[in-house]
Amino acid sequence: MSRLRKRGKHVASTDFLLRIYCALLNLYPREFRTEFGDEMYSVFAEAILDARDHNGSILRDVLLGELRDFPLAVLGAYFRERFKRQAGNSSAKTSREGSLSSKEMLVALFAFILPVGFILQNTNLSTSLKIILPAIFAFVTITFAVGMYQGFPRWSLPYLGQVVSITGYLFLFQWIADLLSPAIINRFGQVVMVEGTYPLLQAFSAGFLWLSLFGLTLLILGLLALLPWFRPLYWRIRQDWSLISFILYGEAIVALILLFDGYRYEEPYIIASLMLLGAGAWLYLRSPSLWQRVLALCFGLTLAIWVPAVVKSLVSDQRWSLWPQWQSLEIVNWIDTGHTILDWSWMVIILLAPALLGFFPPGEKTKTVV
Amino acid sequence: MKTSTDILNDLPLTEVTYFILLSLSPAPRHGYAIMKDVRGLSQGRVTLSTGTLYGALKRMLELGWILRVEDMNGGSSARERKFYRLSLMGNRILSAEVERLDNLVSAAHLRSLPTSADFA
Repeated sequence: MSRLRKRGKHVASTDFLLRIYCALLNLYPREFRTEFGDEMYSVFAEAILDARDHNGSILRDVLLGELRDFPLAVLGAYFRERFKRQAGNSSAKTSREGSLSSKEMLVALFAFILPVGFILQNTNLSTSLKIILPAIFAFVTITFAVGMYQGFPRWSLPYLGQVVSITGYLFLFQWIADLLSPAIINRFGQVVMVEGTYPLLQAFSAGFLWLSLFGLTLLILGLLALLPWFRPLYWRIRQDWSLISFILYGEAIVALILLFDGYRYEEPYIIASLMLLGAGAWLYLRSPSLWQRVLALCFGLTLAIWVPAVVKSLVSDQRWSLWPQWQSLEIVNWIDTGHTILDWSWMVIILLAPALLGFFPPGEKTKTVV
Repeated sequence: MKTSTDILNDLPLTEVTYFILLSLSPAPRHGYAIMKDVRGLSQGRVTLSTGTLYGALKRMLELGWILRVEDMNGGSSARERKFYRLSLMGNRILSAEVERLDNLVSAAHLRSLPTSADFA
C-alpha cells in the first residue's frame, strides 16, 4: 500500500511540475511557443520522468537547470523575435508608422502635461517637492527607457527631446560657453553697450541655443544610427524627417519654461504655453501627411509662444528687476517682445530644418520603401 | 551558398551550438535525445535545459544549419516526435569548427606546457 501511495505521490508531483512548466511556457513569445511549445513540454516531461526513475538529486538538478536558464531563454526568444520583426519592417513597403492607439497618444501628450506638475509645485499649491519632482523624473525616465527599448516609436519622441534638451542645458551649453575665450566674452560685453548692435547680439544668442540643440539632436541620432538596435529608427527618419521635428518639438518644452521664466507670476503663462504645445503635438500625431504634421508643429509652437507673449504685453503688471535701471519699462517691454520674436523665429527655422533631409535621396536600404 | 570566408565569420561556435551540431552529425535526433547525447559528449559538463536547447535549435534552423524531419519512428510511437538533422551548411560549419579546435590543440602541442611544479 505504501508503495502504491508513494507511486501516487510521484504521479501527483510530476503532474504538478508539468502544470508549472506549462504555465511558464506561456511567458515565451507567441510565435516561439506555437513552434516549439509542444516539443518543449514533451522533452521536459521525458526529462523529469527519466530523472524521477533514477534518484531525487538528478530530478533536482534538472529542475534547477530549467529554472536557472529560464529567464535568459525567454529574454533571448523575445530579442530574436524583435530583431526578426525589425529586419522585416525595414524592407516592408510602408512609409509611415500606423496611427497611434489611444494609450500611446495619451503617453505622448503626457510629455507636455507632466511639466505642469513641476510648475504647480512651485506655487506651493500641491504636495511637497520631495514627491513631485522624483515622480516626474521617474516617469520621464521610465517612459524614455521603454521608448528606447521599442526603438523610439513616435509616441516616445517628445521624451527623447526632453532628455536631449536637459542634457544640453545641464552639460553642453556651459561647456561650450567655457570654451569661448575670455577675449570673446569681454568683447561681447563691450559690444552690448554700443547702440544698434544689441538686436544682432540677441539674434546670435537665441540662435546659439537652438542651433546647439539641433546639432546635439543630430549628433545623438547619428550615434544611435550606428547601433543595430536603432537602425530601424534611422530608416524611419529617412522616410519621415518630421520625426526629427517632433523630437525638437519635445525639446521646446524645457526651452519654453526657461523663456517665460523671467515673467512675474510666470506659472499661468508656462502652463498655457505647455497646453498649447500639447495641442500642436496632438495635431501632429493625427495628421496623415508629412507637411501637415510639420505645419501642426509650427502652429502649436506659434500659439504656445505668442498667446502668452501677447497676454503678457497686455497685462501691465510685469516688472523686470533684472534689467538695467537706465532702461525705461516701455523699452524693456519692446526688447522682450523682440526677444520673443527671435526665439520663435529660430525655433520655427529649426523645426523646418530637417526638411533638408528630403532633398537627399534615401540610401540602398530605404530605396524599396514606398 | 556561403563561402569559406563567410563560414569563418560564424566561428567560433558556442559550446552549446558545437555540441548540438556534433550530436546531430552521425544521425538525426529528437530533442530529448540531443539533450542526453550532449550530456554524454561533454561528460556531464554541459547540461541543456529545454529553453536553451530550443533557443539554439530555433537559431540554427533560421541559419539553415539544421533541418527538421518528420517522425523517424514512422508513427509507431503514440507521440509524434520532431527530429532534427544536420544540413550541408551545418556540416561545413561543424567541420570548420573542428578544424579550428584541432589547430588550437596542435599549437599547444608544439610547446611543452609548464607543470604546476614550475609555478611553485
